[in-house]
Amino acid sequence: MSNIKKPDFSEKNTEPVSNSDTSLSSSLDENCCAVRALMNNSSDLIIKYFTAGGHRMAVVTCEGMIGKADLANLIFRPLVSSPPKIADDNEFFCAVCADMPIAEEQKQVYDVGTLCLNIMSGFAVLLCNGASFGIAIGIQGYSHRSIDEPSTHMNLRASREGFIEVVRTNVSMVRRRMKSPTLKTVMMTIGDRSNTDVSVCYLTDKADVNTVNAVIDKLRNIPLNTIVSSEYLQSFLEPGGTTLFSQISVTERPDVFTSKLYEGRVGIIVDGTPFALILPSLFAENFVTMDDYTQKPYFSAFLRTIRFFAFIASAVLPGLYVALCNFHPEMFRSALLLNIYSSVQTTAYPVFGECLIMYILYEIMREAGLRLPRSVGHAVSIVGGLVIGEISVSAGLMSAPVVLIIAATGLCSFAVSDLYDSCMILRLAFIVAGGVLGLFGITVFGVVIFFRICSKNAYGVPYTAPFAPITLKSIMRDTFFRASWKKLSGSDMTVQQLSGKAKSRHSSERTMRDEQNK
Amino acid sequence: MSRISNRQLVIAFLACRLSAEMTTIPGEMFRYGTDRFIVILLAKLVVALLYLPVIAVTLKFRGDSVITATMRRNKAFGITAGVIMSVLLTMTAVQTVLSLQHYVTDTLLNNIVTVSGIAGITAAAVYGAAKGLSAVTRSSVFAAVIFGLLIFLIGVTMWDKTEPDHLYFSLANDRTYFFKSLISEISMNSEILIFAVITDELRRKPHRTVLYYLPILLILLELLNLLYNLILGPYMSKVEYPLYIIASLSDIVLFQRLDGIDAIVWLMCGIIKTALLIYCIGRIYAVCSKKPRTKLALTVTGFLVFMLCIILGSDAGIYDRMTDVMNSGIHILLGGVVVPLIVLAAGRKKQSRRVKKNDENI
Repeated sequence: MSNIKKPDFSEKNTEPVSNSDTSLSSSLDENCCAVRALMNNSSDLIIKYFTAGGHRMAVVTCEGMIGKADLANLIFRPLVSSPPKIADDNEFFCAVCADMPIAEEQKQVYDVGTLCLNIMSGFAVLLCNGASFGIAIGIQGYSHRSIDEPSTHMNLRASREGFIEVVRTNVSMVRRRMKSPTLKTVMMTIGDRSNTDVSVCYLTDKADVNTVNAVIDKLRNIPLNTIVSSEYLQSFLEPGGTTLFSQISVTERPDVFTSKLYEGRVGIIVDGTPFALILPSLFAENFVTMDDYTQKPYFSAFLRTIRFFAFIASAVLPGLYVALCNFHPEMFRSALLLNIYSSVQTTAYPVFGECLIMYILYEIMREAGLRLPRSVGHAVSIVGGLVIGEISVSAGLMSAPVVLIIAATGLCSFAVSDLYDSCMILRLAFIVAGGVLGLFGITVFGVVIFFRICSKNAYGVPYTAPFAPITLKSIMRDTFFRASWKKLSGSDMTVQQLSGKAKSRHSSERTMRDEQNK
Repeated sequence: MSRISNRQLVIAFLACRLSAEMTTIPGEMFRYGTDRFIVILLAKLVVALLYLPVIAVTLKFRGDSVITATMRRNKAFGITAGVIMSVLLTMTAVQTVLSLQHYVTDTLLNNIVTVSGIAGITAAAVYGAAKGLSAVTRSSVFAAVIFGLLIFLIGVTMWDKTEPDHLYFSLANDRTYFFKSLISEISMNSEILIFAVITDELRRKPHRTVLYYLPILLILLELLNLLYNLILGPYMSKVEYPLYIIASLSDIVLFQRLDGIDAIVWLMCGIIKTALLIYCIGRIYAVCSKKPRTKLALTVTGFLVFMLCIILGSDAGIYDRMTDVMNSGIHILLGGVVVPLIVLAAGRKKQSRRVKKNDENI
């Protein structure tokens, strides 16, 4: 907590009595008044006065932020029952600070702003009359969710532990899985108002120093006042701003987080959210789950291929169907063409319109089902599945193939949940492209998407690596195919090795010459 | 400036070349028989020789491209070379877009408006060029994968339709056809122009690109020709786009024919080629003006290509004449051989003058 920012209280509505820079004085009453003033006499501020060894003292805390048993056992009991026998107030308090180890996390505070920030972080601050400093004691005891199975990224055989909302607990979960001195965590406070704790984790011998420095610099310069979720940081860390495909992955699983750190990535854990960020992230990683490493390699390869095709189908299938129906019906098999033709003849809308309407209805149903309570969610499923699906077909509003295709693509998109939002937009765009220009439109739009994702470089690593630029060793190691653990254990590979930059004397010479020319 | 690897450029070149193979070969060049096997082999040998001047420039001027090398020696000479190369690249881009447009209207969308077809292709290419050389070359990997998938599917579905008897070994008896076919095969290698402009953006020794590219291309083209011969046989000279016809005969479980995938592959390759050409023009502008590559320059180039396509594409006579000129291979000779040779000669002259001056000083 050495780099704690001082909070900005410039927008106070109440009478300004003290500011965050006010130093603590030797008067206990003055200090307590200053704290009260800075906290605007907030109702959750607790100041408990007591006397120890004849010295007037006070403990300043925030309600619900500390462990009451710890407060009694670690602070009140030793101080009241066996205080240092020193008459002078300041010397007494210095002795308490130096000779009485109260808690493992203990530090001195000298100004009111830092004092307030500490009590809001779950510290108890001990003040003594005659001493112009306080002792902040880490006895955090705020209530939080217990470690539970993550709600996303479910797995069959991997760990059942998921991150929780407390940053320190999450860091400890990572540390438990990586008992290596090279695992370094840098704790920062971000957000002028929220003062959110953010932990940057990396392995010093694996992560690229430039990437780590770039991430820390970006985090330090985030101009947000309040950060309540890791997604707030994502857009600031994303190279090139907001994009369709994110170069930062999100995980709720400490095992995934730890394994990514081992590949030379940088992880960011934000207080208040169980979703940690990992960067740089590659496109191919969206098709990988933790279960792939607990199953047989051939089975993992099969599942990864299925996921990849699910993604392609989810993005392109409705657009392709519209394009083929409107422009290239000869590509369908004769029997299928006859079926499609008969169903299209009985519906009120053209295939393009049908597909668009059905798709938008599907997204509305999904969104409604997601936000509603579970009991009402079932009703949405019934309305969606039966009423809209079946009745619209029998009423001649929609054709059965369109309902089937939209339902199938919806299902496919859940197979690659990390890319759901990208798929959603791509699907709509491909429907429009296929409806307007047929296969030509789909191809042109597809090439544009390829250009887009191929141009991305996340902190020096191409987003499409190891496919483009091709790194054959890595493709065969852990992409569609996962090598067996015997082979994987033979060599370490970090994400930086996928950059495709094999340095040569020739290129470095030219780089130097370019720099000289500049 | 982010550099690319030889491997990336090889794949991009393959995409370019395969696109040209499919969309620019006129029907009369595709004759039944084994002549084309020899034509392809001879053409690749000649093309290997044509690459030598550019390779010599990169070796002599420590990896510099032709344009960078000329600009370093003499600004006026550099700008002149830049203008010549830009014109050649623009004409190649126009021919590529028009060929693609014809291909699209002949095979995929016969009811598409010409303007929207050209606009779509050009806009996608400009976007790719604006995204940079890495983006374009990396995209070509995906085009290559889809191409591989197409060939695999064709192989799976058409193996029972191949006829080994179609292969008969007769020597070429029509010399005019043979030489015309040879020149046409050589003239399709407009990648040499791209290579001459972007050699300084390669990470390793640029001549390795040619060492990998030409043998792979030779094998691929021979295999494709074998496929055409085995399946189409005597009908080869009757069809305009052989692979498209073969794909349309393929019947996989999902689709009755594969011509859609075939068209997608060639369209992708064509857009990648156009993007590379437009990128090269932007690169020439950046080197000559000593300014970083700007999106404005690329957009202007794209608009120019679009307008030229509209003007030249609207008149069949002009288009045929342009195709004849491009099929003669003059653009490759001029940009890939003459300009690099002049650069080499100028470099030697300057070097000898410097040696003479040093001798005088001594």
